Amino acid sequence: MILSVAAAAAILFALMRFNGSGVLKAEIIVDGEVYKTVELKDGQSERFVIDSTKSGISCEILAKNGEIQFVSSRCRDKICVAAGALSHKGDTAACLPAGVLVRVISGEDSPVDVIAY
Amino acid sequence: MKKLRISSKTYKITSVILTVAIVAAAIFGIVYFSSRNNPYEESFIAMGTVFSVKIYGGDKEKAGEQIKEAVVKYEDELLSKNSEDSAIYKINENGEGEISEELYELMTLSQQISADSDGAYDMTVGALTGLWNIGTEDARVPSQEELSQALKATDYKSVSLTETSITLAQGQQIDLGAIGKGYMCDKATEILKANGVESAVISAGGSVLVYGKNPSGGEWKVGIRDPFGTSSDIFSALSVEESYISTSGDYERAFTENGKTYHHILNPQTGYPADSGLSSVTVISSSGALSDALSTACFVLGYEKSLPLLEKYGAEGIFVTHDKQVYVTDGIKASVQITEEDFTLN
Repeated sequence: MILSVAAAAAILFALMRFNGSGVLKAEIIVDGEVYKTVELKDGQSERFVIDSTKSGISCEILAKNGEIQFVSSRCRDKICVAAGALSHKGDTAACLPAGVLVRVISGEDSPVDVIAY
Repeated sequence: MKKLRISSKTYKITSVILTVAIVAAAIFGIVYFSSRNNPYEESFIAMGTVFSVKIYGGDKEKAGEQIKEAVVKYEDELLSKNSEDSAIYKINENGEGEISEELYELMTLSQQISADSDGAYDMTVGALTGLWNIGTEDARVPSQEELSQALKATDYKSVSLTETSITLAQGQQIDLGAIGKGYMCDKATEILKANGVESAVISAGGSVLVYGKNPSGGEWKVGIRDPFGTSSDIFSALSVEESYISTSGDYERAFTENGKTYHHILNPQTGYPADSGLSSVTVISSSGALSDALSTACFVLGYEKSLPLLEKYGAEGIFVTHDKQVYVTDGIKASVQITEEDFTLN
């Protein structure tokens, strides 16, 4: 009986610990549609070249070692590249001319509720 | 008295059944409460920026969908100066037009802030923004002659506004870009209330609404972007109850030509990007439209000249200079925490 209750407690703990927030994931949204959901993890290095048919502007996104960021874009001002690496739940970056949005949808919460930028 | 004896087999079966029942009840509880407490989250591009919504309680899905629909509708039908169906586009094309009650209220507020800021905020800046085109692929430095022409048309005082119509001066163009995103935060509030939402965070580029009580307990923590870092870097954290917060900074939209960088906040008096010694201004007030327009006005005016303006509207401000000096108005001094060592709070 004691063993059974301990096993149940362990299962519950694992469920609560990993309930939606354990895995770091990001979405790449192109022209308003989810293009790809990417799991962000250590040791990873995955590149995504996006050619937006709507805007005609291409950009490149890199998921590496638990972070995701725009690394290049054919847009003029490169604000998307300057946005840097995203790694906290809720972080977003966008290449507005290309119509491409990257947002971290799960993982560790940011230390603040929102950033005014 | 006779003792009740339980066989080993019965004991094992009972243990298994009990364990399964406990685990099942717990899983059900976790799933039920986490789906109830999980926020509705959505991000989308509109009005030249990224909108992010996070909504807790009430009819959160419906509220989230209505906010997205409202942003698209207001952009396309009212505020955009590029969409051919919008009221602003038609007014700019014709130099006049009929206006709705909503547009009248927004323009009246715009005109009031223009007057109170001595034109540092001016909704007739459209001729100038149209020349520079900052934030688009066509951004460029206009010639002095072009700027002189556009400056003649940039004057809020020459707008004729009635409750039902507007008439512009020759060459004048309306641009509500410095108030529109904050205005959408006000509209979002109406939608959140109508759907019985308990708490929400709405972010529209530099304009933010924190609504209701923070579900994590305590006050909302709003990070203020480090003007010299990336979009995820903050230099301070502001603790507030329900508020509208808008930040205007020289890093938001910019382009570089011949080695010089030009940001998007234009001084309506000079026609060039504002240079008041500030890298960013954050304004906190009781209205989204107000916070948005005031942050632009304060960015153009600079720290000292902004103080009477903020006081008039009962708003608070956080100012960051190019050399990382931070000035905060008295009403929120205790609520601002500097998180980066190289910034100095004065």
